Amino acid sequence: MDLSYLEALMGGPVEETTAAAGGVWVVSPEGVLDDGALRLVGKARVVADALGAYVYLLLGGNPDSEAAQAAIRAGADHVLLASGVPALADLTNFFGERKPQVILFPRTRLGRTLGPGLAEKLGGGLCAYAADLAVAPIYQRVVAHQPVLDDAARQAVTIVASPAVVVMDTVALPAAFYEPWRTGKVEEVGLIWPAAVEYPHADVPSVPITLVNAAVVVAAGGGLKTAEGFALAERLAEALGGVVGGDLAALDAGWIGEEQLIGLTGRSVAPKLLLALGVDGDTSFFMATQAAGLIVAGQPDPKAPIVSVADQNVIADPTGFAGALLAELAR
Amino acid sequence: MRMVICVKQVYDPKSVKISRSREEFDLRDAVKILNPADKYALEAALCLRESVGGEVIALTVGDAGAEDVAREAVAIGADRAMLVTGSWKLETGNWKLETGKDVSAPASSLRPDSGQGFQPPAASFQLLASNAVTRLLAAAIVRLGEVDLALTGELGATDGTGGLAPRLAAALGWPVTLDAVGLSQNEDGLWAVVGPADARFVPIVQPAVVAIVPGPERPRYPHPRRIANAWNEGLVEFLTPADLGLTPDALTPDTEPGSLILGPERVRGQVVGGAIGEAAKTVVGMLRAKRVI
Repeated sequence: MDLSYLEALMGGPVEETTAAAGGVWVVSPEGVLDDGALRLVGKARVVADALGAYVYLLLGGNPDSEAAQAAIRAGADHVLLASGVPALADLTNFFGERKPQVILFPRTRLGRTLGPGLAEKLGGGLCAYAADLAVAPIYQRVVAHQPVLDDAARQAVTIVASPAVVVMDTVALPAAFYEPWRTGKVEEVGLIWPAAVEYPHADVPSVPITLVNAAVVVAAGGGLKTAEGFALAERLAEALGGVVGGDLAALDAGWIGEEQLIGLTGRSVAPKLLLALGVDGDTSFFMATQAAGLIVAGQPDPKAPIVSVADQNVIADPTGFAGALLAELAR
Repeated sequence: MRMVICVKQVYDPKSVKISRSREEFDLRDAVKILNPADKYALEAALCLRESVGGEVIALTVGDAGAEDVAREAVAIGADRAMLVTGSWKLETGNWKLETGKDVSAPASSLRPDSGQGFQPPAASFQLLASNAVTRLLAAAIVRLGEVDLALTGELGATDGTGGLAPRLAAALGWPVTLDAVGLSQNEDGLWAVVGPADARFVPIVQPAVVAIVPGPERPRYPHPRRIANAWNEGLVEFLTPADLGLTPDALTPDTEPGSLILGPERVRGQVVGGAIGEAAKTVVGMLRAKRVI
């Protein structure tokens, strides 16, 4: 095992101890090593440095050695390659002898299935949904930051039982490390797990997305001026996976139907993102959008009422802003 | 077919406020409801019962106030309900369920909640750690015996993690299927439709645990007659951990809830400067960082 990184970090010679031998493990059961998994390896590196431990990566799904090298550059000390996709019993056997300190899973369907089950089988502590991790300085315990109230806040959850099993949402983690000077060990563990099973396709009627349940609503206003400008709002809604609505000016212009009207005489909306393009904002509009999570407005008039209500404003022609947003989203 | 639906009483997220100055939840006006995700699990079970017959039993763990959700599940359509409850005691920052019937917690460590039960510390929604809940549910299911399916909602409304179903399955030694939008039975056996994106039929080998996600089937409303009858005697069975043969050691929490971590306060009326292209780039970057898109 290459100890140079730990020695550089600790400022002196470091010997591998029994306590550190458990290590911080990242498990990618499907063998997927995408950007999210590499971020998770980076987070494991940070946690392992705080605990004085090594980072181990267990890759299932017949990965190649190039994937292992990418993981080492991202912070792994030891990469173990296995064949097929493990079941809970396989992982329980695997970790039963190794006594890990921390086991991290990405929040994929398989990760969500195996992580909690493994915690139960190993008698460990579990946080089945964490957006970040830290180590408590005195007791060296893992503290998971669990999103609550739809990520309006995060709850610090100290994991007291060992091993600490955490299923991580990798989206909000910092970018993966890229440190080509790192060295590590790649090992074929010789485990052959069954291949993933393909199940027959099912047709599920989709739940229609409406103004009421959409996560993103693009509100068109009279400031868009023309039907071409409104078409940009529609394209933007499609690109963001949302729906388009509008204020009374858009209704009067004939761009939207009454079922798309946002206001006290129309619908109240509570999306995560409300993108208001060319909407001046009257009392009726405000009352219907007060439950919106984040409001971004494109509006040429800096004194328009919506400017003081929106979280972010772009003081510009809304048509040009919509076009620029579409171009930026297409990148 | 005998199905157990694990339901949970949660705070309605719309009624919970966050006190930024105290860095804790403001639960003074918070309302407790049946976890919305669990209604979908109940609906899946009721649909299956309508097609193949059987019994639907709602199972919940909570304080005395959780009787409301047990009765609500019966009103919606469950044949009967079980409530695992007991006295509650604050110990090292975590609320611990006393396993004995006659143990009462010291008054100083309890905060009354309208005389019905006790509220958790306001920095956390959690009454019991997830390992303790899992063990209580597993013990209750084992006590029932001859259970074919245990269904859960995928996520709790306030602080759900989605960890219950796989953990419960591991405790029972049963297989687990996540992300099921519905269940169907044909001559080849029982299938879960796992989706909703790229939906697949996944065979269920019973007994099994299935976590249900909201799908096209909307949960039904309780009939007024069932609401009235739900309060009849004998429909809800009350159990303590001692009845289930669990000792306090078995309920030792594996986690301790800590403080709340709050993001920056919302500031309205900010203006993004620069040319249109630059402003669009800033806005898209900010939306991605906030995970809105």
